[in-house]
Amino acid sequence: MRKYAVPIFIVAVLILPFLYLPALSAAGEWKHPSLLPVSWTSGHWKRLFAAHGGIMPVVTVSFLLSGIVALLTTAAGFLLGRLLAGDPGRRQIQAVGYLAYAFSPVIYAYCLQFFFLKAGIGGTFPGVLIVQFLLFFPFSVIYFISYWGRNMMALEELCFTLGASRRAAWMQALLPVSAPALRTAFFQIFVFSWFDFGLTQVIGQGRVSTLSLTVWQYMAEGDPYIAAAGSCLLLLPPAILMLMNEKNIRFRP
Amino acid sequence: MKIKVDNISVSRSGQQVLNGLSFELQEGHILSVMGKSGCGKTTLLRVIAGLVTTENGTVAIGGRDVTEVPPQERGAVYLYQEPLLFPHLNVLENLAFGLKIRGENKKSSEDKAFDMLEQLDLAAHANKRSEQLSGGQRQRVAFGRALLVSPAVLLLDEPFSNLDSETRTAMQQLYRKMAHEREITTIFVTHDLKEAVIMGTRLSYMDEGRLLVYNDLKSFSADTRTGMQREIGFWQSFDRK
Amino acid sequence: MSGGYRSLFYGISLLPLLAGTAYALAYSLGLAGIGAPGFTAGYWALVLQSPETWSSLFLSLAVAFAAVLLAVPAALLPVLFYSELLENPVIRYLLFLPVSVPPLTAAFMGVEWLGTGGMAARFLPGAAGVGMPSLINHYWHTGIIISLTLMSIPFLIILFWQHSRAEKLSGLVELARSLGANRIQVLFCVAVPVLLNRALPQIGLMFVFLFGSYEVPLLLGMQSPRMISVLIAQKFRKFDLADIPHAYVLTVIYAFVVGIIAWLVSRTNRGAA
Repeated sequence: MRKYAVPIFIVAVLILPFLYLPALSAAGEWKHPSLLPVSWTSGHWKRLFAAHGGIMPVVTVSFLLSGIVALLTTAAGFLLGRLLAGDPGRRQIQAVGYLAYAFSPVIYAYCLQFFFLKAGIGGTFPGVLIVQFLLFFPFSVIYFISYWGRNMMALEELCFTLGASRRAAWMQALLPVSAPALRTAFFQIFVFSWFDFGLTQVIGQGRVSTLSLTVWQYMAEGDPYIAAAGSCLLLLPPAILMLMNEKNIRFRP
Repeated sequence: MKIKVDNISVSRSGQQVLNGLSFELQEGHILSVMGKSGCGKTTLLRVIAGLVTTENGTVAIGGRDVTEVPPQERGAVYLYQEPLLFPHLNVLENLAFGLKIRGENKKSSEDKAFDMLEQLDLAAHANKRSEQLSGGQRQRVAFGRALLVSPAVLLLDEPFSNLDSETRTAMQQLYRKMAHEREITTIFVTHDLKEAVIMGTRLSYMDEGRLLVYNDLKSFSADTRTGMQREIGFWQSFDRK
Repeated sequence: MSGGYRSLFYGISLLPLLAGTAYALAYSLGLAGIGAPGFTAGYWALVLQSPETWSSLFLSLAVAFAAVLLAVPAALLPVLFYSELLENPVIRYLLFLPVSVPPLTAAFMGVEWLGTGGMAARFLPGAAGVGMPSLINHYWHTGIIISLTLMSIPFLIILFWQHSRAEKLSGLVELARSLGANRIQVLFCVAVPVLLNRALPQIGLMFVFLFGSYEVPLLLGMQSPRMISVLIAQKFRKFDLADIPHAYVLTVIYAFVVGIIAWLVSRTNRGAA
């Protein structure tokens, strides 16, 4: 056991949110210097589902937003990744992709705010959807350009020489073969969108309520218990997706 | 079917890979193609398959000019060094793939695939996934899949190079037998001199973007570039000892 | 045809950024926006002369640098010394799980644990009585650095683990051993350089993300100096219209710095993020 003291410590610190947040959300009273809650309650969760019209509409908006963004961005990246896979300017494409992908979302949103307001989509669900698509799109393309490597291109050619039409090659071979990669990209972009705070805050102008923004509101109101309950909801989908897809995770802190 | 390639040229990154290359191959023959790495052997196969466009000249299969015909309609199956099996399908489904995409119904295509499995001695593996097969078994499935669509031409790009010598010999025999039975015209790229001689009914050597097809084994061996004389000398040196 | 697809990619990825930055530049020079006064370098002069600008930029770079500097060795540790643990799917899942912690939640955890009466103080021996110094709004920005470091570690563990498998690190280590290298030599002449070399583009990207991080410094940072994203956002949000051009000047400066870092990263790139 002593041999593993260091990794155990690292694991313990890293998974702290998964232990602490559920505990805090169910704590009746947990004040300094108690190491554990003095009493337990389900009151904060009840409040979470009741306050401001309840959390469920917000969760629904978040799911819809992240689902649509992930679907569109994955599909667009998959197609464009294929079309650009053999491009001689791949390096340049990746450099541009990195630049856009690494840009701070909140500053990106402020850069575009004017155009979104002009187009009349500031403060709307489609506006937030579009801005998220624009920011996550380069990630998706870069991911799929790498995916469409030598093997996948060879597989496509094999289909053609076996007599498959473009449509048959895609429907019967390339799409089914790519299912794991598509799933990974979908989950990943879903999580990026689910985490997003800055883009939605600026482009949504407070009129598009996602779970992140609502949890932030609870934090700002100084109510740690209900903020903890909301945070649990925020953690849950990514943790489940992570479980389904742990080998293929890319990062975006 | 007969293949006729006339004056084809391909250049890449300013370098001439194929340079006015021409040759003819009669129906049912196997043409072994040798040559140094990077001399354009793979490009030649890809031009015939329709996967690379030639800058000039023509490619004809069975008397039909296919230069502008898309790969799907040429009847030329190109097989890679790596036996590419579809990971989402099992062995039987992989074999039936070519028939299914040509619109043949599931029952009939799977029946034909199963017959082929038996000929390939793989019937016991019908429901396995590609990762459960050995390299030789995978290569056999890839062959079977290609043969099932009755191609006019088979283009083989070093198909046995990753196999151990025993499996390789077995595959060479299997392929010769099947190609002979079906009279499939084949172009066979290899680095292995012995394999070129065993497999080919015609022998050729590729150099400076052109293909030299020899009339017989004697003229092939007389050309110092093919390495045949060096090989013979090597074995003869043991006799002298 | 490929050129058309490339244009489509640039159109979606780069055009909004360029348009946004161009608008920011125009605004910062007095050429755009409500009541634009016409060309003036006044906003730029003010922002460039303001110590707030430089301290914010320096702080952001320093915090990102510190977090990377701490997170890289912490993530190398399990991959290099406890690789057998990573073969266990449960432990791997536990180590990878924290990537599903959103920045907002990480910031909230920082607030809950790193304050004077926070959880960390309760667990530290003796600190409960005396009181641990609050690491929130801390002069050295310790709370921000700790949170960003902890957020980065699981990503880097995954990254190094993937690279160690792709590079067949265990084989390289055995090879070095058989060539007579001792443990230290194997570590510093083979394992660490192999992993760092391969992960360099992604570490560079991580640096850019951390440089522009928002939620963590928003909750855990001091009023002044503030990290660049927070400073820009706050200037945009102020009701004083005079602050908007300054926010746009800072946006252009931020875009310029990120552009340089991304260009450097792309030069080191040998694989995708």
